[in-house]
Amino acid sequence: MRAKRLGPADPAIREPNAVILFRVGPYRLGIDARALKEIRNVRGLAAKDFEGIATLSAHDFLGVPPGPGERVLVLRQGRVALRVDRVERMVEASVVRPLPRAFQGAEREWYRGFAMAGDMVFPLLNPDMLERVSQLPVPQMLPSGGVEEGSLGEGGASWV
Amino acid sequence: MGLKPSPQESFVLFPLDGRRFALPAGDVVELSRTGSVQLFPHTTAALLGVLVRRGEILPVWDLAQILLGTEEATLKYCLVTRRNSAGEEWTAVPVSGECQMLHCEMLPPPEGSAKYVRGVLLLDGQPIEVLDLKELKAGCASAYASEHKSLGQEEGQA
Repeated sequence: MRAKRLGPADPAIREPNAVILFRVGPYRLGIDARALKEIRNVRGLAAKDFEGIATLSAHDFLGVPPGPGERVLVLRQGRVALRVDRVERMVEASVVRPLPRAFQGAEREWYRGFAMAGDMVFPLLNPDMLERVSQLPVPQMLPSGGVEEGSLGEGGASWV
Repeated sequence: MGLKPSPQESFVLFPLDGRRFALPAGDVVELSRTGSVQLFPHTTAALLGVLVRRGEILPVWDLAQILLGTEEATLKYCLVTRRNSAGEEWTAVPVSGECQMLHCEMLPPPEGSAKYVRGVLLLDGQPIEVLDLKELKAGCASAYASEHKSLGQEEGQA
């Protein structure tokens, strides 16, 4: 049997997780919905709306060429937000597998592993790492303007 | 190292950006389309992304970049290679086109060959390098480690 020929799987986390899918440049990534407080549209945000919140650019952080950065993921824990290009939707990830050991770089910190949802596989961002990075100097601040927003309630999500 | 050829063995020949290389057939489990290689941001040199095969996440090695220094080779298929007895994980190797099975003798690697050359096959008078993926991966890992060590030293000096 071919499945057996592929040998034993790496240990996988098999708990259903609601995951927010988002785009940074051409890449699709995910983050556990429970880690987010809200998702905001950058257009019209005022600097005062993010007072005391360290806003990281996902492009700078992941080494991806600059993009529109139209959405901001505000983390539930601490005072951190991540600017991304767009938010796609929420999915339920049935399995999270660890990164293959061949990956030896900073990505081992960036991601909790690979989440699988239906036919999709995408890296799952590690929110703890974002908290740590936000404590480094020179957080990037957002432009000023009005606000459009959607909020993530306890255990659920909605956004513009 | 003896110069006697090894007994006949089976090899998978594959094209890579205008050249041909080989892997021992015993190292190769299957050939799949590259369409499903998932690219994502990462910092490990020599890796392209991952491939999902039967629920497993396999790292995809950028062989064209490692062997030929080609940044954007046209890649059509992935050879999925066997996990070894040392518990090394399954990997995928993208190639440029159709593969070919060859049953022949492997000659010892010419003097001065890279460590990852296990031997050579002669096909139509042309030598084809048989790759040792384990050596190749080990070389990439140590290159990564030394690069980061030297970067750390530079930062320390700064």
